[in-house]
Amino acid sequence: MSELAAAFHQALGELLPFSEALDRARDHRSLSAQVRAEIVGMGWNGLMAPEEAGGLGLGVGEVIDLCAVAGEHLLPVALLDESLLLAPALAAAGHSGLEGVVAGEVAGGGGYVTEGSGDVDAGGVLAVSGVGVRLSPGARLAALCHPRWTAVISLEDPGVRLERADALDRAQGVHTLSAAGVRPEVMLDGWTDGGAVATGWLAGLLADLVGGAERIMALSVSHARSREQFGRPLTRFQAVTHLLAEMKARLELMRSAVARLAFVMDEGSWDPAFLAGLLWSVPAFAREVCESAIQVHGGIGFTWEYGLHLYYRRILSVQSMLGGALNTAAQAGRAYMDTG
Amino acid sequence: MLAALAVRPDVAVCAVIEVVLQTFPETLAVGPAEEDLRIELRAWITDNDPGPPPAEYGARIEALTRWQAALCEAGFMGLSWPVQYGGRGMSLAAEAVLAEELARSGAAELINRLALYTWGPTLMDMGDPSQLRRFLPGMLDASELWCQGFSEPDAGSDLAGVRTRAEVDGDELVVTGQKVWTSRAELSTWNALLVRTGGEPGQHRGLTLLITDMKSDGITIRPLPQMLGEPHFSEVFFDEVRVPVGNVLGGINEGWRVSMKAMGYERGIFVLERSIRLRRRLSELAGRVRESGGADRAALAGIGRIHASLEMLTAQAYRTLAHQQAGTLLPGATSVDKLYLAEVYQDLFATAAEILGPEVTLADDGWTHDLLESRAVSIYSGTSEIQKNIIVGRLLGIR
Repeated sequence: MSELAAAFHQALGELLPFSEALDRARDHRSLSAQVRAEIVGMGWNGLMAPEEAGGLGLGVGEVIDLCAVAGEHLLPVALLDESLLLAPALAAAGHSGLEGVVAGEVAGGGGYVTEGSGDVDAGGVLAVSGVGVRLSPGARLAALCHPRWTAVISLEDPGVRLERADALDRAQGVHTLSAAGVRPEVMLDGWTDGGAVATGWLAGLLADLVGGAERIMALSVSHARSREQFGRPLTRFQAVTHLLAEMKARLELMRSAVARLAFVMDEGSWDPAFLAGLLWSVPAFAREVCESAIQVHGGIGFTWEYGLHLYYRRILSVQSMLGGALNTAAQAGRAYMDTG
Repeated sequence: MLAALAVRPDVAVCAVIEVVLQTFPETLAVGPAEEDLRIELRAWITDNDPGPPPAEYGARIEALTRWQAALCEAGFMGLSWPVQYGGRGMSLAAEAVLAEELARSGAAELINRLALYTWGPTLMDMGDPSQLRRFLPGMLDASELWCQGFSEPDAGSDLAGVRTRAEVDGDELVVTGQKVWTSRAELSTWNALLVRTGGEPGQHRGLTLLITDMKSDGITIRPLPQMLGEPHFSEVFFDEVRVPVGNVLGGINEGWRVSMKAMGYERGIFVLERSIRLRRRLSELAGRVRESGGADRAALAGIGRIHASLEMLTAQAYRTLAHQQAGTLLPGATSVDKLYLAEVYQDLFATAAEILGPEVTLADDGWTHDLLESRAVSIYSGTSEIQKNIIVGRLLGIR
């Protein structure tokens, strides 16, 4: 881990105690304004924003380590959306709202618009239906990423309708967003056209899942070492250790793939079919790791207090927002057939 | 910390460099020298591509041997080997470029891969000067093929179970015993043979690696036709076979250390090469689907899943090569590569059979051959179960 990531790791460890994350999830409560302000004050919202706007101007290769730390500590994903999608989108368009987002004065969020759940017409007017978005409290702007475009819309637009959607991922400000007749504040390329903002954000989301999977892996190994059954630790049962080996293999594959993605994106040599593939595989692998972790833990893994469900909800939520396993696999197949 | 970086650009630059260094060794970078090589290779292959090797086993072996000799003559074998050993002194990224470019040709397979990527590098690490002079040249031009004598009837995945014995007799060792599953035994000049010179079966100590001439008196090779009907591997019997002491690699009773070193070399390029060959098959599958009028949603999802899996496998192989190059490869790390190779390999051909349907599965030799062959991948070079045990022991530190 880099020094920067290590420092971030330590800071989040203090700011986001696990017990507090459980309480927030139980009470459907968002991150407190004070903790959010501390995280934003560390420079989080400006990771990829240019230095002249108060940001750090980091590239994808540099931020994925930080996103993995965010995933490990269950940093609300809306903050990742603000930092890696909303702020860079505003920066790319030279929008006046950028500095407010970087400074944390203007809250926002973001989400993914699957093919078929909305589009922008030839006149530049947006219509979407039931799109999952994560929003920080008091959000005024939302960035939306569609395969072929990336847009920022004002949530104060009368054409926007929001409904809370707490079923899966509590405490993360998940809403469904519908919009009709809305003219976006910002309009950029989508990831299938190589749009840098969208691809950077997607890489960050995938890295977040890697970080979560690492934490789940560590918890599972630790549990298997300490938990005894029939007079011996679970690590003496091959049925259990082979599950752990499969989890570890998945984790390493995810890590290799995301590192490769960041590398080729920084080099500018990637093709959309590669990213399309990872949009299926990384969430699918994270999900497998987490489901095996719950199994390895047995009953304790299914309890509220132990909290594996916080990771599981996060993974399911991201996978679902991207369109689900079947859709993302078919999307990868289409991208491959188009380019391969 | 991050805020400090925002107001202290000098600190930020240092930290960013740190992050870059931490991130990019996780994958393989192809530099200008390798890109030049790619151009050179692509031109040469275009002019010299022999096309797909014949299906018939004997003719295929002959064609592949000629192909490697031609590649050697053109200077493309041993790219990462030091110049003094007949190589070009390039990085492992050059070998990756070679694998990628070969995959575009009709004949992606290097017949003497085991020598080029496993035993050649192991010899360079552990061999004496006379061994290097004697054995390395024939590896490059495929004039001397290599096989590997590890498995035995009572020592499959469990190498410590080796029972084939060798007794020192003057300046020779006398070998008696039996090996099994020895791939291409009948074609090979040399066998990297693991024998017991001390200790008891079940012990790692007392093993010795003997480079054995396969034409020696006392060797009997009995082919074991595979489920594919090809004589790819054999039983090999040793009856008082005499091997010069000078053919011991790494010292008597040092065979376990030599074997572990060799296994570390075995996977990097191999998995990359296989992943590229599988990509070629996926591309052929996509072509068939296009010809037949396009894919329905289930077929698209199947193709997308395989495509994504192959990208994961390739990314993993690049990371392994990057660590191999940097000397930071963790013991046991390549078990992830091998475990996943088997999974993707089997998934690809099973999915292809589903998508292409009975007309192809029942009638097309190529796809059916590969569907059957895929079952071997989770068995050879250490079964998937053994790979999991290695991951548990080495990567997770669970004993």
